Amino acid sequence: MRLEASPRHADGLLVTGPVTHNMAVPLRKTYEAVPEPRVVISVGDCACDRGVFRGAYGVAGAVSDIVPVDVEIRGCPPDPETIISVLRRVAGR
Amino acid sequence: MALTFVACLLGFLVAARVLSGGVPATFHTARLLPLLGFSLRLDRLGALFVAVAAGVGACASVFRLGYRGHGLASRTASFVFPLFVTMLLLVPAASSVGTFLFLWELMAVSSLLLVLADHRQRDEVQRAAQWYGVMTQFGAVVLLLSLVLLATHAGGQSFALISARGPHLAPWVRSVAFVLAVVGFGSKAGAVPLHVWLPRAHPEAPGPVSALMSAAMVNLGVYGIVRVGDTILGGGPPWWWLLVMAIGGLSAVFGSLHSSTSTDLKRLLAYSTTDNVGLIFLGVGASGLFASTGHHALAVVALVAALLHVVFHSIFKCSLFLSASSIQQATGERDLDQLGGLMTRLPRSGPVFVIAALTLAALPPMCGFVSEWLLLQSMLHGLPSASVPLEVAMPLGVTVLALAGGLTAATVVKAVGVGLLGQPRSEGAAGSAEVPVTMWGAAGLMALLCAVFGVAPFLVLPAVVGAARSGLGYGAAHPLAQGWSIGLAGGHGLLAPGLLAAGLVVAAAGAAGLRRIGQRGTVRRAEAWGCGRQVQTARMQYTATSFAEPLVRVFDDVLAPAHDLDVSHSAESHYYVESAAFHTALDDAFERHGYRPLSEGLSWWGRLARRMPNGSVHRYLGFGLVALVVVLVVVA
Repeated sequence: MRLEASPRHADGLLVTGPVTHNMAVPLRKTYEAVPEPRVVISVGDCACDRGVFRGAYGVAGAVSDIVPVDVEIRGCPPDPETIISVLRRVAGR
Repeated sequence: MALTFVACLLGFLVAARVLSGGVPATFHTARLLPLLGFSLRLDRLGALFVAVAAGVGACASVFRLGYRGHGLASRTASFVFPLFVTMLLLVPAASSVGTFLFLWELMAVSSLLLVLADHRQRDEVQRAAQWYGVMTQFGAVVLLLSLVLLATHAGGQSFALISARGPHLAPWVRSVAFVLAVVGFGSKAGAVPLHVWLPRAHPEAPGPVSALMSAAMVNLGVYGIVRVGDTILGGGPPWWWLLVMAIGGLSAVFGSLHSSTSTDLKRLLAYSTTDNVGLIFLGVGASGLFASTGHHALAVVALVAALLHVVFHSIFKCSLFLSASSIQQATGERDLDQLGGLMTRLPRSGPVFVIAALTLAALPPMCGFVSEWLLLQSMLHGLPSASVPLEVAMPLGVTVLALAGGLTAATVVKAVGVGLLGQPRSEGAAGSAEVPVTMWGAAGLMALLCAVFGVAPFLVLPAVVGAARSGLGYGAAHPLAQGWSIGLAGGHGLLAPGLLAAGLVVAAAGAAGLRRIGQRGTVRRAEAWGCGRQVQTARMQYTATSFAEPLVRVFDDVLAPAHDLDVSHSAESHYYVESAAFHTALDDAFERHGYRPLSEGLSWWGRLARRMPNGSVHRYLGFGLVALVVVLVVVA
C-alpha cells in the first residue's frame, strides 16, 4: 500500500474527520479526480457520522453525505489493528 | 507586394537555372557605380543562397497581404521592403569588392529602416534599431577593412582575381583578412558575442521583416565566411577553422540556453536563430578543418551539412516567425505567459507553428533532423584521426550539438505547451480568431516544405552538394550516396528518411489502434487536478517562466538571473504582510559584461572630448603643436 501525491495516481481515498463547509468542494473535486474503479474509506466516528461534531455550525455533513463511501471504520479513535485489518481486507492481501 | 513577389520569382528562376545547369550567370556594367563598375556573377554557391532568399521573400510578401502592422503600410516601408528583398537576392551574386560592399550596405540600411517601421507605436523599437544600426555598421566597417586589404594586396577588386591570387598572398594578410571577415560576417549572422542586436531587433521588427531577417539575411553571414574562407582564400590553416568552430559552438550553446529560458515568443525565436547559426558555423568550421587536414571528402560532407541546415533553418524559421506574428496579431500578445489555448482558437496557425517547431527540435520525419544528422555524422567520421585539432574539436562539436539539441527540445516543449495548449491566460488569447488565409497559408507552405524535404531530402540535396563543391572548389568524387536514402560513401552512416517516416506513420497508427482496443466503456472527463482548490483560474497554469525555472537554476552561473522580491509590511505590525511583488529578469551576459562597460567607456570618452574644445585660442594652438610633433615623430 502506497501513499500517492496526486489523486490521479490513486486507487482510493481515505478520509478522516467531519466534512466542513470549506472542505466539501475540495473533497468532491478530489473524489472526481480519482480514476475509476475507486474506493472511499472513511476512518473514525467523525468521518462516518460526524461524531462529537454533530450539529456544529461549520460542519457540512459526514463523508457519506458528500461522496459515496464504500468502507467505514468506526471508533473514536479507531484502534490501529482495526484500521490495518480493514485496509488489508480492502487491498486483498 | 507584386514587385517583391516578381523579384523573388525571377531570382528563384535564375538561381534554379544556375543550380541545375552549373553555368554561372554574369552581368557587368560600368555605368551603375562610378569608378568601381557593377558586376554580378552567380555561381552555384551564391545561387543556393539566392534561391533560399527568394523562397523566404516570396512567402513574406504573401504574408504581408493580411498583416496589420501600422508601420509596414507606410510609404517608406512600402518602398524599402522590395528594396531589401532585392538586395538579399543580389548580395550573393556580387562578384567584386565594390559591388559587394555597395549591395551589403544597401541591404543593411534598408533592413534598418524596416526595423524602425513601428517606431511610432513602441519606444523599444528605437532602442532596438539603435543596437542594430551600431552592430551592422560595425560589421560593415570590419568587412570593408577585410575586403579592401585583400583587394589591395591582390592588386584588383574582382573576386575572380583575388581568388586567383588569394592562396599566394602573405600569410598575415590572409589571416588578418579572414579574421576580420569572420567578425564582420559573424555580426550579421548573429553569432556570439556579436549577437546582441538579434534578440532586440527581431522581436521589434514587423512580422514579415523579422522572418526575412532571420531566415534570409542571417544566412548571408554564413555565405560570406564560406565565400571568403573557402572560395577567395582557398582554405587556410586549422586555427582559422577552429576559431569558426569555437564561435559556432559558443553560439549554439548560448543561443539554445537563452531561447529555452526566454518567455517572449519572438525573442525566443531570435535566440534560436543564434543557436542554429552556431550549428551552421560548426559545420563550416568542421569542413574547413577537414580540408586543411587533408580529409577532402569529409570537408564536402560537412559543408553540405552546414548548407543543408542553412536551407532547412530558413524554411522552418520563416514559418515560425510568420506564425508567431500571426499569433501576435490574433492575440495582441507576444509573451508566452499571456498566451495559451490557441490550438482550438487558431486551428490553422496553431498546427503550422507546431509542425515548424517540431522541425526546430530536429525530430524526424522533419527536415531539421536530416541536416543535423548529417552534421553529426560528418563530425563523428573525423575520428579517429592523426591530427590533434581534429581529435580535440570533433568530440567537443558533437557534445555541443547534443547539448544544444536537448535545450532546443525544451524550448519547443515550452513554446508549444505553454503558448498553444492549455487554457488562455489573457483576454487577448481568449478572444483570438484565426488570421487571414494569406498569413497562415504563407507560413503553412513553409511548414509543408519542412515535412516534404524531411521525407524526400533528395529534392534539394543535389543542389546543396553542387553548391558545397563549388564553394570548396573540389571536383572530387561524390561523397554522398543518394536516392531515397542518404549514405556516406566509405563511411558507416545511412539514413533513409522515407523509411523512417513510413515507420513512424505505422507506429503512430499502431499506437492509435491499440488505444482504441484498450479503451473499454465510455471516457469520463473530469476537471484538471488543481489540489482541490475551490476556484481555479487559467492564471494557475504552468507558465513559461516556471517551466524554464529549473534550467535557469542549473545554469545559474551563466545566466545570473536578477530576482527582486518587494514585501511591504502593515503599519500596525511588522508580522503582517500588506503586499508582495516578485520580479525576475534575465539579461544577456555578454551585454552585461561586454557591451555595457564598452558603451559607458565610450560615453565617458565623449564627455571628456566635449570638454576639450573650450573656446580658448591658446588651447587650440596647443592642440595644433601636439599634432604637428606627433606627425613629425611618426614620419621621422
